[in-house]
Amino acid sequence: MAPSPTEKTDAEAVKDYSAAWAAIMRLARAGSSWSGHERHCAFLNCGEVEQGARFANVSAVSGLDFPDDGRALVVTDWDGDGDLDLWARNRNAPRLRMLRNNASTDDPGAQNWIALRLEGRKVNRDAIGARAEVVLADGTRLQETVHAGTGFLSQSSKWLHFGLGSGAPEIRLVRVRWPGGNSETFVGIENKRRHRLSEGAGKALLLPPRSGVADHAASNQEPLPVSGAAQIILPGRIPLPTMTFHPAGASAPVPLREGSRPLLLLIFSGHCGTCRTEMTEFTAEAQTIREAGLEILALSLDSLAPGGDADGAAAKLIQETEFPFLTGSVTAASAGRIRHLLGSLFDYPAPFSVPLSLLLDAKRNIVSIYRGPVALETLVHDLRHGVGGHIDSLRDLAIPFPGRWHTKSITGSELAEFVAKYFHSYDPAERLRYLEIATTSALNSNRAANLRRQVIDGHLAWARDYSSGGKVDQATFHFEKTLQLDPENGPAHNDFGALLANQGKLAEAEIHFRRALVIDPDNALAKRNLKLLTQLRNK
Amino acid sequence: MHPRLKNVSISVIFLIGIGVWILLKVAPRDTASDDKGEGIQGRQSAPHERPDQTNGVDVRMTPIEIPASAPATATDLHERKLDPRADGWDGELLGEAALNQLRRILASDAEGGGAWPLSAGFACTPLRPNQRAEVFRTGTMAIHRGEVPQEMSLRGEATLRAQVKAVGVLPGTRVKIKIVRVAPHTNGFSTRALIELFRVDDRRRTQVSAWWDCEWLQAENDGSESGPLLHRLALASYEETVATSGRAMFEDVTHAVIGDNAGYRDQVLRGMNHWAARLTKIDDLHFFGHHGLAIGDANGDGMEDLYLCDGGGLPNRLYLQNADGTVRDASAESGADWLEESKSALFLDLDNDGDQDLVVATVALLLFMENDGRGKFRVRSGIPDLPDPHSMSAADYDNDGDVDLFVCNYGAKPADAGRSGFEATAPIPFHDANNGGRNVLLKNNGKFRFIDATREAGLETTAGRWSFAAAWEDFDDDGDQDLYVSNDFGRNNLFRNDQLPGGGIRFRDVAGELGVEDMASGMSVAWADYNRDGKMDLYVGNMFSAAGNRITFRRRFTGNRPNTAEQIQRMARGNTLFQGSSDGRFHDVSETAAVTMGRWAWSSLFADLNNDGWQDLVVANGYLTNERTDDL
Repeated sequence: MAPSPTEKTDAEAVKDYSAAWAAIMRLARAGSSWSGHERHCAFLNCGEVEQGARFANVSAVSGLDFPDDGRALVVTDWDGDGDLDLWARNRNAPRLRMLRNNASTDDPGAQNWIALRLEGRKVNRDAIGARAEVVLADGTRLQETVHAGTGFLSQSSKWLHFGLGSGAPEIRLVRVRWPGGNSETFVGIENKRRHRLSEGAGKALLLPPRSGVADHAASNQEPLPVSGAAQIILPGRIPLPTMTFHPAGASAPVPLREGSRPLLLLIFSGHCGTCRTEMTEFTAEAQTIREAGLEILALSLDSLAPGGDADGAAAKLIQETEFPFLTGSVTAASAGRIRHLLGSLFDYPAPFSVPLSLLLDAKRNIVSIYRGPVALETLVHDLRHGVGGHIDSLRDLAIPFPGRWHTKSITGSELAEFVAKYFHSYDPAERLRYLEIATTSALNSNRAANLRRQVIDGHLAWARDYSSGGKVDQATFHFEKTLQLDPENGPAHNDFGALLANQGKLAEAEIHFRRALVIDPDNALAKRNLKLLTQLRNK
Repeated sequence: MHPRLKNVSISVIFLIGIGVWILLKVAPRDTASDDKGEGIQGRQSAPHERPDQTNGVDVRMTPIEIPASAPATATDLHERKLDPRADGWDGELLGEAALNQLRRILASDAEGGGAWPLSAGFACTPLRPNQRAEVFRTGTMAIHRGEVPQEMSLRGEATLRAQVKAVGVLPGTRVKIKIVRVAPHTNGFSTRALIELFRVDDRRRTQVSAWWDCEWLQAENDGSESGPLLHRLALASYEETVATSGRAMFEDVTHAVIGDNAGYRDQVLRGMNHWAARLTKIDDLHFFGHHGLAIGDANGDGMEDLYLCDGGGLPNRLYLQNADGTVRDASAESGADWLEESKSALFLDLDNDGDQDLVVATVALLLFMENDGRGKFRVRSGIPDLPDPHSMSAADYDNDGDVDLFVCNYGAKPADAGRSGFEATAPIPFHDANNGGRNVLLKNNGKFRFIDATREAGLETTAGRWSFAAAWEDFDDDGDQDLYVSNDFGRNNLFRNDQLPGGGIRFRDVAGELGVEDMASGMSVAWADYNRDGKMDLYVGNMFSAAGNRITFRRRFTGNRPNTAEQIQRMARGNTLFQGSSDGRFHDVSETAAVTMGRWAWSSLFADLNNDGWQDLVVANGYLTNERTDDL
């Protein structure tokens, strides 16, 4: 992998190094592990015996060594039994573990402890930053500070918990140094008890012992099995990428157009048994589906396979199931765009597989995505509430549990811009198309102007690209598009002029060079080009 | 989602509109006026019943390959280079070969199982020292260590088999091997391996942690199936821990404690990979799972409660503790069931009225919520546009009687990036990156008004350090709170709180002069006095990478990087324990204390686990466990 550049300014190196990061993450998103299956660690302080020396690795014997992708970890005597329990938050399932500490029950050496909750009066009420020092009769001094936020994304308890060792420790006093530096001595601390220490009180308030805690049974938390199938309602309507297909029996591809009714776009393979089952079901329910106002277009992917659809499996499937809806086969570019869109929308995308269907509204926006077969009642629900419901309700439908939002739903324009980004390097034409959709659906003029600028820049960049690649027709198309949207674009006039001049269209070229100079009389390139053009004519 | 796409609700825009929230700007200002946060209560999502939401695993789907049309991008090329065979890192192949051979030797159930890959002249030291001493004992555990034998006195396969058995490799033993060094030489190579064994017999739980140094002879005809032959095996370190309590010290009681609640099944028993294949990036659902926990007494009943952050589209949960130690889900009625991606939260008494208020770092807003004393929260103010908030840590840094807040912003969020963190911008340079997000110090001005005091306090230098976590502590015992900041790609900061002569506070980064820069992949930080000398010590969570260790100590790596090799080696060493001393300086005692191997560590904390009065260490770790068994 590429080494890290040492300066941000080394553009090539930065690009290379960034690509290396992207490559690692792409492999991880394709299912590879990266420092996965690692077990949590516990190190036991061997204290007095080996002061300042080695801790002992007790990860496994302590039972803490779950092989989770751990993240947050917090410490608290949750059940008030006198030892420190842990809550752990994981990336993978189970995402949460409550790890009960059995020390105060099982370990005869772990029976002595005190817990202190400090309370500020002049200083902050939580006493965050206050430090308590416990002084035992044998001279032992233990100290702890009230913290709020340690570890990673974690806040442990604000109770201070002191283990006092084995034997019969005698607690002489607790000295608290409050934030700011004032010290106060507290007496009345009792072993195996919880106390409140209020600033200025001088004496600890003994709290009643906790009672009634159940003896919770330990158990393995078995993660739910992983399924590739899913019925996903999107939080907004996403315009379908450019889609062309060969209708059954037709050799020329046609674009999928807007219609008057919603459409279920079903992508299948003649070799897929689940597809057959689903299409058989759709055949049986054809009337209900049509009455619900839904059309189906089933497109096969088999012609994209190496060797093509030689055995005619897709046609056979349609024939055998007597599938009564529209059918055809999808073009490679269209299938690629759909795969790319699905791969971009999700951070851990499922492998591209069939059956896959997209529920489209009449304008051919994607409302929901079904990986695997979709039940009729789900379709009917999504038609009514997703396709037919108010746009703002989509985000609520998209989530599995209720909750509270403080942000608004994404607008159609924002969504189109969001999708446009993902086509940036994959399919620049598609990116421009989404940006155009974003521009026309923008709700405020600043935003529209901004997007329009991106569209113009996109066309121009593309025109230049085609131009330098010798693709004259495409370059001309995009120069024209650029100038149509932005007639005052001097550099575009100049570059278009150059393209025309190189084709020998000198008169047309001259118009563009002159236009560029009207817009910017100091345009050095246009000046030079005009001069070259005159020389060329004089030859 | 990138900030321009994110519509903060109208009420917040109003809040900004009145011109009081000018964050990330120069001078700190008094910001929100009273009670203007009323409107940010949020909107409860519309409930819905959708059929057929669950899918059995028995649904068979047919994967389809669509031929690629676009030419290979830079990313594609790197993906190929990640295979060490293509990248020229043959040492990685040697490490893999050694690992496979050690696995054969340590396969606990391979009684018989063919001849072991040993050279004709194979010799080793005893693998379990004959002289072992109990170095520490608790009520239930005994730790033994042994003199490491120097002499290669043992020969032959039968002897090795007996040794392997003696060290505890028997049917049922769990064996973990990590190769951390590989050095090729003329007719072979050497490796260092960490060997971890664990077994349970009746009521005894036994754990062995050992370092093995191996010499390997490369087989004559390279590419033969047999692989390298073990020629010398020397025990370099040995520790054996036996626990006799019958059950483990820690047991997972999650199901008993929260299993009856609605969120348990899907929000606990499903991982982020499940959700990241179903909830979109439009609502910021990412698969990294950086979602935090906060403990506090939310409803004032004297028992601790738990707040869980979750990904975009999944509600944060407030679990209130019942008298029997189980919990009940109070998310909806608490008003804190935010659906926006939330990284972390803190329970804090922000207004000193005796209850626990709540700060939640969501992707769109940092929310300050006031507690009514009974666990119902109301938004009082919010701070928009923080680039990438991660861990937060609170303390009263100016000793004015209320708690202030430090927020780590990991990545910078370029305006045009749809992604956040290191995928939007690669950390540069890797061992000392400075192009991350800008951390923020928020000063509490009372009544839930917070102002950005970062620059005023001299903390502006934290800008761009890819900070994951921070923690306050008065390490110099002068009565004010100092701040340690742990940064993912490079040196950390220790900000000493200095009172200016004319009043005011200026933090000064003293990490370099006090020896706590810790050039590594900082993920977390915790403070405690682990050696009971009265001075606070530091434990910093870092990344331990076996592959990173193997590669960065190879001559091919160090040779090309005379200046940075050591720094990059340090990046993969693991956790760091800094011992505070009375002269103010800290000493890195990680290796002698044997606490570096926290693996790919995240939260790494002090806690006296067994009440013996000495602070132990616990480390949550692991990065990405996915379906495939190979590891990148």
